[in-house]
Amino acid sequence: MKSKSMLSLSIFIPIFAFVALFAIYPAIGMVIGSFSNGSHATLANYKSALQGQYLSAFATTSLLSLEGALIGIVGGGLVTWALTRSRLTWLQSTLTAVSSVMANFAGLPLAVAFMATLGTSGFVTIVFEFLFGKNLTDLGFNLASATGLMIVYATFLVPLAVILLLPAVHSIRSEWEEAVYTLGGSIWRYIRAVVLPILTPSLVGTFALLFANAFSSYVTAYAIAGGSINLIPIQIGYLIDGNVTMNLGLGDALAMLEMVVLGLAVVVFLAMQRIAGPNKRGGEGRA
Amino acid sequence: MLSVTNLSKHFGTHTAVSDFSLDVGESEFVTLLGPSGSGKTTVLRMIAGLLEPSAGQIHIASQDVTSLPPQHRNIGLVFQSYALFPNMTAWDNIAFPLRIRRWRAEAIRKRVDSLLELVGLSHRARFHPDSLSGGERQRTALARALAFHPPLLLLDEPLSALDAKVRQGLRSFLKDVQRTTGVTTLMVTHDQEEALELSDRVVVMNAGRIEQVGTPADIYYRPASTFTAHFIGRVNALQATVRAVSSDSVVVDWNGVLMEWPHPVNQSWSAGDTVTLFARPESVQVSPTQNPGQIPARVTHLSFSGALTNVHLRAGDTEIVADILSSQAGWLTNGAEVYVNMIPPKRAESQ
Ligand SMILES: Nc1ncnc2c1ncn2[C@@H]1O[C@H](COP(=O)(O)OP(=O)(O)OP(=O)(O)O)[C@@H](O)[C@H]1O
Ligand SMILES: [Mg+2]
Repeated sequence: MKSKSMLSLSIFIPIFAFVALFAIYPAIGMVIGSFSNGSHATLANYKSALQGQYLSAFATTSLLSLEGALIGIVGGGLVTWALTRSRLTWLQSTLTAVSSVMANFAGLPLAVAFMATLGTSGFVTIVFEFLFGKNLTDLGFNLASATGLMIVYATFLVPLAVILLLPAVHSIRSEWEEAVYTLGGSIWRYIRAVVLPILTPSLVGTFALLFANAFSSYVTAYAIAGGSINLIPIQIGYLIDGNVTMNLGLGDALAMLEMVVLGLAVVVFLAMQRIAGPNKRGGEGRA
Repeated sequence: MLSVTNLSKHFGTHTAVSDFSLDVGESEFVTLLGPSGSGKTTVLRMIAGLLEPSAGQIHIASQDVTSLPPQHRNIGLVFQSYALFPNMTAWDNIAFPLRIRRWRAEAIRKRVDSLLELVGLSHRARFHPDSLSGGERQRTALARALAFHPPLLLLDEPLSALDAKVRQGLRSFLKDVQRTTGVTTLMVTHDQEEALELSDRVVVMNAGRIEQVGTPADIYYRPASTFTAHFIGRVNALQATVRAVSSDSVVVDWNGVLMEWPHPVNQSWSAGDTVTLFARPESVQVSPTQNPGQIPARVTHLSFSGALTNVHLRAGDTEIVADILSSQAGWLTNGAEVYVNMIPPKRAESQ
């Protein structure tokens, strides 16, 4: 009995080692680095991280992430709603599968795909110019802008929202809607009194996770926007690979602050999941 | 009160309900009884307005509601799955239709509290549906459907999701509530016992059509078709020949024994016809010595089922099942030579 459990535990040893080497060790390094200037302990890194271009990077990143999360939640909410209302099971399974793929199709491949279609010499841009004699850039569109970035973000945030919202939306039963009607209520009453209260925890939790996802997206943002948008992950990249200015301590401090933001988002997500659980199961409720 | 005429529903090429007509009187309790897939739920959903009929009309209190949306029909509907809102307490669920109707807070409180008392759930008012038992959920759903004093109550298999013991208790409870509130009720069930016990009238459905409408005793003792006879409990089907016909009864010859039998509903028998008589197992009398009007039979099998003993008999080439009170079946043994006769059903009550 004991030796068996030892054996199964030993399988995890390489995993523990891996996590220690590539997650815990760098994290400790990051914490220490953020509080030092190479020789002494200091708070200077945090002071600079919350000033000037870095503070404005936080503001820009937060704003863009909020926007992305909003687009994701609205788009994903609508898609999920339509999906569960249509009784077409093949459409449901296809779109769920497509969403899983799309939600993970972020990073460089996604950025390249967009540049190849909507970039200055992208396929769609050229065809558009050929057909209508107008350049998309002249019409004010630029992929390397906040709008462009938002479009790219939407392609993985919307599917991610679909995946995260689907279980909750699925748990809504059509009899509830019919019950509201027979009791004299309208569809608006149904949405307001039944659907929204049941979905709120999932919506808030999903929103937090989408926000975190957009906030921490580095490769996609870097490839699409480069230096044209002042984003936290990009600033961290500059500071630690030394392309522009190398300042490991400041980079660590920014990374720590980003971790705090992401941590908060995850806490919100987990808290909402807990609420969604027991509340749906009931219990002695709000008086 | 409720009047349904020539209602039909097609799903693509499949006909779920065809030519269904029924009148339900004020305060009447009517049951739709039929096997799975016979169209019972489809009829109920059309009356509630959740499903659009392919043809036919529905009138409630002489108002044509055929194309009225469900919100405006003012019908109480209890779903098989209860359909309580999980985000609201039992109290809030029952208050829901009253809030929609903009009742004053004080009136809502009074009404909900009295309904909770009616269904015996005052102590569970603050609980969410998921922490109520099946029976408690069912009673909450009933209270919610009755809250706004609907003139018509529809119930779709209200007891089928409950275990046998709770079901038995709720059955008499349902009847009591219906009696005290006087609400006109149309209930769907595929449980014949439930239908016979609760209803003023039973509508037997088969494959989207009405087989028979009648009082529970009509349906049970005077089935109009082989389907009804076999669907409602066990039955002996006896081949007999009609000898004479009078206004409401016939004289039939069964294995040389002449019996006076009520003339069946929906059929017309004349002298010389070979007909099928339906006799329930408890209408078979078995004696050790031959009385007038009895024919000989042999016991082939006995099975004890508590209060009753099922006696399987063979008379000539006819198999007969008799239910005998176990307390009076002590003398019966396997292979015994006995004598049997049928107690004819009473004549149909005039309608
Ligand atoms: N939405 C629908 N689309 C297609 N066919 C349907 C639909 N609803 C019901 N049917 C069909 O109509 C027929 C009658 O169904 P209905 O649900 O009314 O039966 P029921 O008597 O209530 O049966 P049960 O006792 O199983 O509930 C069935 O053959 C069913 O498959
Ligand atoms: Mg049904």
